[in-house]
Order: sequence, then C-alpha cells, then structure tokens
Amino acid sequence: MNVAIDIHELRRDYVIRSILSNKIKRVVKALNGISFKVKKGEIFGILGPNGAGKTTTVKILSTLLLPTSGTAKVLGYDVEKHPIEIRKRINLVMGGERNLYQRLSTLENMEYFAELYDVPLKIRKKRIYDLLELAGLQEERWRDKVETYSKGMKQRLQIARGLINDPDFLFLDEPTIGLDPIGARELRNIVKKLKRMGKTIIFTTHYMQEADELCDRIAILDKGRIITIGTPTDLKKMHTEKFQIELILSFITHEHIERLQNLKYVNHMRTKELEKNIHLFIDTQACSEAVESVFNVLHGIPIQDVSIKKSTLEDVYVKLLGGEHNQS
Amino acid sequence: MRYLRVFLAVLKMQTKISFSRNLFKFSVLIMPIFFSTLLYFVYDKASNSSSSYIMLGSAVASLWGVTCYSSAIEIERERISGTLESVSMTPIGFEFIIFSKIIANTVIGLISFGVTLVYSSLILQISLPVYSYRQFVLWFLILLFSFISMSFLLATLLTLSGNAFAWMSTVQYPIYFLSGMLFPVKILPKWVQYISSVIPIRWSMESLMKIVSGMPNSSIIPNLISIILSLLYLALAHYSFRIIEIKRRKEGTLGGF
Repeated sequence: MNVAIDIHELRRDYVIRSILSNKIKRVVKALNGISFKVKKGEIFGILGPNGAGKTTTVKILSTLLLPTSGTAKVLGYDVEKHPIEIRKRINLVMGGERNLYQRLSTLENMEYFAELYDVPLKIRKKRIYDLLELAGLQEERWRDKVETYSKGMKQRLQIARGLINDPDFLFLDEPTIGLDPIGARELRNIVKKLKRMGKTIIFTTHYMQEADELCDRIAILDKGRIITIGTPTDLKKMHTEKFQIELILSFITHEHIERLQNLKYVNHMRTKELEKNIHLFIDTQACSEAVESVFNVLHGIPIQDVSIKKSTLEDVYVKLLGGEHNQS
Repeated sequence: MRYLRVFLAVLKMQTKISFSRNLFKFSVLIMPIFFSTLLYFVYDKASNSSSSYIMLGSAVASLWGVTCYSSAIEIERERISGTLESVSMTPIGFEFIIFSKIIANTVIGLISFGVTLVYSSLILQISLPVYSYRQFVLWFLILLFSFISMSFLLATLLTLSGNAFAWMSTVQYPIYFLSGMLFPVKILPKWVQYISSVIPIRWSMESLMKIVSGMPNSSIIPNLISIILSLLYLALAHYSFRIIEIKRRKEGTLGGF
C-alpha cells in the first residue's frame, strides 16, 4: 500500500488547570490510542460526535498540535521531528468564515499565501487564476474585499487558498458547515475534482450523506477511540441490515407483534407510537419476501403508509454511537 | 532573496489591512498632532531643548505608539481573525512572519513621524537644529532598531498572557515616561532611572537629543548601549518565541478558540 498517513497508538491529552492555583483539575483524553493508515489518492473520512477527537487528529497531522504519545507520519515524515517538511506538502481548510484576511481581496489573500508558500513567480498568477476558477469564484468579485462575500464564497476561497502550494495532502475540517444545500453540493463537486487530480484528502464532517458520497474509507471516532473503520459499503454491511421497511398502522396487537418477530425474513423489529399511530420498523436483508410475509400477518389491520429505504451511513452511525432506542 | 520577498509581501498586506481600520488611521495621522500640540503648550518653546522635545519627542512618541500598539497585539489579531493557524502552517515560519510584521509596522509608523515633523514645522513654527544630518539619520535607524527589538519581545511575551490587548497599554504608556521621549530621564527618581537604563529606546533617545543639542561626540556611547540592549532583546525574543511555539503546540492553544 502506498501510504500517505500512518498513525500508531496516537494519544492526546488536554490538561485542564485551575486559573487561580494552576493545579491540574482534570485530564481530558481527546485521543485514546488510535491507529490507522491512509492510502495515497484516497479520501478518508473521520466521523464522530462533538469531542470525539476529529479536529485533534487533523491538528496533529497538520503539525499544529503535538501528540502526547504514539507516532503520526505524514507522507513518511514524523509530525514531531519534521514539521517543516510536512508543511511544504500539506494544507488545511477549515469550515466557517475564518482563516482568511477579511479586509483583503481574494487576489490579495491568494497572492499573500502564494508568497508564504514560495510559489514560483513564473507560475504564480496562472495557478491563482486556475484555483479561483476551480473553486468557482466569479472573476468580477476577485478584487472585492472578502468581508463582502457570502459564507459559500468564503468557503470556496478557503479551498482555493488551501491548494495554493499544490499540496499532496489536504485536510478538510468540516468544510461544508453552515453552507446552504446548493453551496454544499458545489463544494462536494470541488472535492471530487480534487480526488481526480490525485490529492489525498482527510475529510471530517457531521453530514453522513456527504461522507457516504465522497469518502473511499471512513473511521468513526467516539471518545478518542476508533469505533469502526472501512468503506461506506462495508460499514453498512457490517453494522446494519440492507433494508428498513416502515409501516404506519392505526393499531397493532401483541399477538401480531409476536407473529411478526417470528417471521423468517424479519431480522429486527421495533415499534414507536407517534401522533396516535403505530410506526413499525422492520430490518431485513430480503425486501420483497419480508413485505409479502408482513402483509400476510397484518391482514385485516388498516395500513396507512408503507415506505422502504436502503440502510444509510447515518443508520450505521446512530447504531454504533447509541442514538437509537428500541421501544418494543 | 526569499526572505526579502516575504517581507515585502507582509509590508504590502500589513499596510492595506492597517489603513482599512479607522482607529489606525486616527493613530497614524491625528494622534501625532495631539502629541505635538500638547507638548507645545507644556514646554517653553523659546528654549532649544524644548523645541527638541516638542518636535522630535512627539514624533518619536507617535512612532512608538503606532509600532508598539500594532506589533504587541499582532499575534492576538491573527488569532482573532482565525488566520493564526493558516499562517503558522506555512513553511517560512511564523516567527519570521511576525518579525516582518513588526518591521512593517515600524515602517508604517514613520508616516506618523513625518506628520509630526511637518505639523510642528509648518503649523507650530518650530525648527529642529540638526547639526549633522548624516549622523542623525544613522542614529535614527538605531532608534528604529531598538523599537523593533522591543516590539518583537513584547509581541512574543504578550502572546503568553492571552490578553494582549489589555497588557499592551500597560506596557506602551510607561515607555513614554521611561525612555526620555517627552522629558529628560534625569528628572525621574533614581530607582526609576535604573529601570529605564535597561530600555534600549532610552539610550537611542539620549543620542538623538544630543545630536540636536550640538553634542554629537557624546552621543556614541549611549547608542552602543542601545545596540547591545536591542540585540539582547532580539535574542531573548527569539528564544522565547521558540519556547512559546513548542508550548502552544503541546498545549493546543495555538488557535485559541
């Protein structure tokens, strides 16, 4: 495997001290011994709830933070020993409206960072123009101050800025946060373009659909540990059933529930009472067979609505992180 | 050459951002006029030393105000705008960027120096008796060097506090009194004079005042002291910057939010 990132037993503690006495109040374990590898050219997603350790991982890999213990190598360079070598080859794009000079124009921001990254003068202008076009920023706004931009435009500019040094490796830390659906979709298209350009990307997000669409592999973190890791398809296979049938009924008896639970094609079932109706959720691997047998059991009970959905990454996430509560 | 290009980029960027702030424009263009006018009425303008303090003292004080204010809070400002992490990640090194910004602030501060000289000369009708222009320029460059070294140390140390805006004023104003910009250090109590003797600006000011008082020969020793102290400040700032950078990477407080 052509490895871009190699993390082994990475730990990061944050020491919280008392303001008055400077005594240690508590130690927060942001990362609790995580290990994984990322292949070159891969989009690797890191998912998890707030405080799971996503941003801490990104900050360690982008040399902004030192690990408490363990090793982290980016493109073969150790984050502790060779930060400068890593910095030449990476860049970081964070979500939100910050990380840009608001009182400078787009071109001025780009030119400034091009100088800091020592982009050769010969290709600088062309690279800046190409990147702004790639990011979809309209040329007539390039000379306007960034503070006059919408959130989406600022995010596009951040992407362009993040590519100014033509990095081999790009960290995207919740890049679509706060964007409207169209803006988020356009940004996802940019990320796909970057993948086609051969960039290796680490992508953190709270949006499961986005991760499913973009990432080649995903690690789900919780409390500083990796809960699971794999391709989106594998994760769905490993942790959920293939289909979920939802039926809305006016009523259901215990006898019906018992009979449904004993059906061959029903792997898991739960009920939920919502607005005086009973919602029946049935997980199955064989959709049509399950529907047929369920309808046979429910013969005589008025069915108000039926829907079938394929399991999603969100189902995996909710199942693994305990957000689902069975009521039956 | 690479470092010069980065410095020029920082200077260009710093000038544009600074002049987009109204408070900065006020500090550079209006504050010097207040300083000169204040000293004009405080001093007896008839004497030679008085005109030196009105014109040169207020010009240097204005320059210090701009340089110190802009530089001391530079890192904090980057943190607030969220650019601190992006800039820290660049291979050129954050220390060089901050150092360049401080030089840029000093260069921009020269505008306020110029405003004071023009205002004092044209409106207040005060003349500055410079006996050797070549020496004056050289001594003035040494003064700028002392400004840069002090501002760099302040910018670095105030980063530790996490409350640079508040500390900046605490540091900026005493320098007006301790450095001999607005009145001779000799009139201060002895123990305060000991404190002022470790401030390089105080020695540079003494040299400049001697030049305009027609005592160029006795101005060399104070300048040497100023250079030595400035170099010590720079070394201390460089060493502190390294420690703080590692500390911030260890503690995870670089972004500050």
